[in-house]
Amino acid sequence: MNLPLAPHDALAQRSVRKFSVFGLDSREELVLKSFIRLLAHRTHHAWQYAPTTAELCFVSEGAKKSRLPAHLVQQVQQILLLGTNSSNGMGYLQMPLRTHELEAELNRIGALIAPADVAKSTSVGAPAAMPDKSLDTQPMRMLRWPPPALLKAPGRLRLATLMTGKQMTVFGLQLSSGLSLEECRAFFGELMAANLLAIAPPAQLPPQASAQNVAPASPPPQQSKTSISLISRIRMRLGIQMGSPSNNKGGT
Amino acid sequence: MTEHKILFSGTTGAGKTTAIGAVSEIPPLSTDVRNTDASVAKNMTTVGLDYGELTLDNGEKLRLYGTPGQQRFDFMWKILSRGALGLIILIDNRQPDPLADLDMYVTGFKGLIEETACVIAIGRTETHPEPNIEMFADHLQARGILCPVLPADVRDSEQVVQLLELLLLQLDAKARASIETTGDT
Repeated sequence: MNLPLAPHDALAQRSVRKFSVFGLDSREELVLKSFIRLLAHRTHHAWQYAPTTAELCFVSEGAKKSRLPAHLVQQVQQILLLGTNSSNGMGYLQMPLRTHELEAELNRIGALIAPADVAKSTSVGAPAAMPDKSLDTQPMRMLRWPPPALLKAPGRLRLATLMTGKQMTVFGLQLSSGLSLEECRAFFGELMAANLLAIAPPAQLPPQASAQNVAPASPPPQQSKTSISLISRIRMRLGIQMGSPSNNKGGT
Repeated sequence: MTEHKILFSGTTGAGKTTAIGAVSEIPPLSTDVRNTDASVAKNMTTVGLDYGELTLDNGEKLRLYGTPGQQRFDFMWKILSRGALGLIILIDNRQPDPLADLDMYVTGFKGLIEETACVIAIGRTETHPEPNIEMFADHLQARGILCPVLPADVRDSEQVVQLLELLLLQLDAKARASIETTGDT
């Protein structure tokens, strides 16, 4: 058997990464797993399907993020969204799947994942500020724009901006921002420590809409019709790439 | 052809014309005239509006409008707000009462801010650090408004792009939330 990209010894020494799937229909799930098997001789890590101990979870864009099973919530370090929109950048794979894109994401995410045993050992004595993973699916509402000191780290300005419009879970924030779960958890933790987060009741309106019980002064605005493709086009015209470091400036 | 627009508003001298010029693909069209308002230390000021534009890859235009800064032109704010994607408010921290200036614009554009997206950029903070960003954030919170507020030098096109990106992030999140709840596309 010819293995052009990775010698057999190197393949044998690759570290294992585990994945799971959530919200895909059975055919999509089958295709995804088949593709990962097909790529097994090329990826930097050995990917195994492990529904109860996964570090990476493939999530259908249409799935309700807040309903991720509890065991995934506790275990998953990264989420990769699958959907039909183009130009969504890192953390998103466009369907139908393309093997080179899947391979690139597996390699990128594989490098970000700390294997479960390592994660457990390093979590002993971890800083007390690290947020509890059990809060990952708890919708929270940001109460106020954070102080500049909280926005200095890369990506923070983006995270805070995403929190302005509606209640968010850590998972939702990760899906929207393309940043890692750990970064999103850390941001939630710091907001909580600064008393800038509140638990949001399920059907709560965004603060701007609920703050004033007044009808819009102008005709129905274009916002509700603002399509994701239009936003992508404007980003493209401005030279903005989702997930790019230059777009993650925390500068305040 | 479909047209889209983003508004820049703010006090006289805050840099609306400069901000639009920093990203527009055409030289900004302005209706500046000689200033006769003794309270404003400028030779020329915008009494109508500024205009710039960007052509998207499908040929559609994104129009950038700078509103007149003075409150006596607030009838134009409402006209320009119709159908706008969002608003960037530029505050000049050299002014005597920047927090009152902010109040004027968040009141004047209340409907647009509630329904779309808004970013607030504070200029000249390097020479006029007060009120600081925390004071602006507190001020907005007291009025039930939650949106990005950050220092910005609109002479730097990268910073103008960043303001626009923060606006787009809010719109993106709202569009996705709308899809989740209604199944709209």
